Amino acid sequence: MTDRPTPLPAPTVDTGAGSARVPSIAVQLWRHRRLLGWLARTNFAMRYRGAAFGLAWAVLVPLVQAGILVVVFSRVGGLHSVEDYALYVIGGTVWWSYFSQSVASGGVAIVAGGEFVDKLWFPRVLLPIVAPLANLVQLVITAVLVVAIAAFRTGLPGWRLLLLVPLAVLLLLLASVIASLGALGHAWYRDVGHAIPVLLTLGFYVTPVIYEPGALGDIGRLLAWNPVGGLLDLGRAAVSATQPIAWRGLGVALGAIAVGWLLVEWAYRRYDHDVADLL
Amino acid sequence: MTTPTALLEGVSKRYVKLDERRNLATSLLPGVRARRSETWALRDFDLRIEPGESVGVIGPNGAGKTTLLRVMSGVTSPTVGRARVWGRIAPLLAVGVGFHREMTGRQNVYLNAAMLGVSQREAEDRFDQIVEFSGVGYAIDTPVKHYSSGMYVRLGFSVAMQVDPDVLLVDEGLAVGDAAFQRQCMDRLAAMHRDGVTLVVVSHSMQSITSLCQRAVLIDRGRLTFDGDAAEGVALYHRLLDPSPPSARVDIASQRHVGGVSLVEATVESPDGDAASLPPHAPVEVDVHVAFQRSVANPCLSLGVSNAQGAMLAVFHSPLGTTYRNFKAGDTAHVGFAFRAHLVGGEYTVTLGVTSSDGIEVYLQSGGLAAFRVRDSGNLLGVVDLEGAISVDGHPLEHTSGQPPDRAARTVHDR
Repeated sequence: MTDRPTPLPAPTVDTGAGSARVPSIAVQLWRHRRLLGWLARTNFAMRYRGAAFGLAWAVLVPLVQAGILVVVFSRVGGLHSVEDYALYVIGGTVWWSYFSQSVASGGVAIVAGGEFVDKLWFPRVLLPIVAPLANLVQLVITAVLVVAIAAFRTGLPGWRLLLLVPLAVLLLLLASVIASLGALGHAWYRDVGHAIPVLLTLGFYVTPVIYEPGALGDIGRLLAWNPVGGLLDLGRAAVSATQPIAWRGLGVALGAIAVGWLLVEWAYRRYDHDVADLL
Repeated sequence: MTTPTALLEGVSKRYVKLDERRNLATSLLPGVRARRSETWALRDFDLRIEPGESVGVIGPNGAGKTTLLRVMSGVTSPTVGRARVWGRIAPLLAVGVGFHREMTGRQNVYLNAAMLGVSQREAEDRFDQIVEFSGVGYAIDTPVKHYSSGMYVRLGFSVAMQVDPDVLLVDEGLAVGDAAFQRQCMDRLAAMHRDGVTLVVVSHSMQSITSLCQRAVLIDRGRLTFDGDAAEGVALYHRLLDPSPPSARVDIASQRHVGGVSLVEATVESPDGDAASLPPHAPVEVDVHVAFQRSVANPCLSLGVSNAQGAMLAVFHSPLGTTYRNFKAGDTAHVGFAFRAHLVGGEYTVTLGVTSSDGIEVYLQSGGLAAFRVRDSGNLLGVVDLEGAISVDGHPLEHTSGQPPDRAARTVHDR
């Protein structure tokens, strides 16, 4: 065996009364970035293993869904005033799909990863973030397709395409904080696992995915506080020059991420070493 | 003071029973309260382990051994007290550190290494060693779901053993794989220990504890009841499992040799013939003539039988604390011991012991004082003759022990 470094003055495990301050979740994530990368790679590789069309399914599902919604709802009046309703729905659906799928699998990731959690310690917050991270691959591919569709229908919106980068980052962060809080709650109360799909179904309708907020009148103003909605509008603005950039919605999303992050910091630093007992 | 490897200070761990854990309803509804049923898996645990030590953790089932390892690995935190461990920790668990079934052995090795905090480069450097140690190289690019359970475990072990941990936590992990792999693991653990790796071994195999560990901690119902020399800890553990009242058993560890009784003569006889060539199961009578140089009240008398290799096969002694006779200095006595030689063929010697009535003071201990020989009767391995018989579909095969065919009749006649 090669020369072993003398044990660090800082312990690797320090739990219980009087233990040293737990480093910020951001620091923990950075320190364990390699493991996070491996977990995300594994998650991605395993999902489409054995499926001949692999990743194509990941892209196909939101696009088919968007297609159906366009066909159905373009015949229902009063929902839209935008000139290209199809692009509006496609833009909404694909970003929503990313968010929804990431939260659905990330939100139960701690219990699902019980096999690992029970055997050795690593920051538990890694687990719920794996799905949002792995889903980025599919997000990028669908984004390219959306841009292609937009270019075909209305022409490329120029510099605005760059907005797709902050969009992806913000979607990742929002999905990660919500999945993290959900996953911890799920470890505590298994009811959360059943509630997540219900809430996501509800979320699809209280988020302006297929309609414009204005279509709902007064309720629409309430929906302006939906952080996902703000991000969907950012995504639409990125591919369509006629869509205004909704700064307010962006602010709501940033605020939600900030608040969510603080909650994640508090909850995971406090309960990180107790989660295994709940499995 | 140097940095220890592990330091547990007043650690207690409480588990709330699973089926009565609070759920959403009991938390939200007023008036509904979950009944709390608590178990203290660890109680007031103080433990300091220095770098390079090898510590065996022993105790009955449910004593808290696994909880101790869980606390040390950081998987769970103490309810009371503080736990600290320094250095890279690798757990070695019977079921392996969670492999992903769909992934190949190679991918799992890298994932596992990442979980143990090993850098990508280090994992690549170690990869060949890991695969070689596991012996599953031929299947390293096959998904592990196609592995046998043995292969699975071997690969899991290999990762933990080859990633240069500072502390290796072994939880009942040594009883997996075939004998050759177990041997290989024990050798590797011993080598790691020589190289300065700290070992913490939970095992019910006292043999692995004594061969691997210098120090043992004994846990009973969550409390640390012994911390010290491994052999002593193992002896204590055996006593914990078999708590005979102290007066009924000779406590060999506390015996003192004081002398005062001497052997005059010892003879071995048998009603079945010459002691130099006894048939199997022959009754043996040992007559010992002893002389007392001191006064001894109700001594405890014992006889042991050893084989040619020097292993003590059996000892029997008079009940401790019985009142029968007070010997004065100058007295002599003939002590008769009788037993049956339920032994495989070979040469045997007897050992005589005379101790005080409580078994503590040893007045005479004399080995190899008389010999007898049991004839070889075939079909036997080991040391004792169990008078075994084998039948197939009710038809007895040739007698496996040396017992003559009229065994039943003879046994009755002997009584």
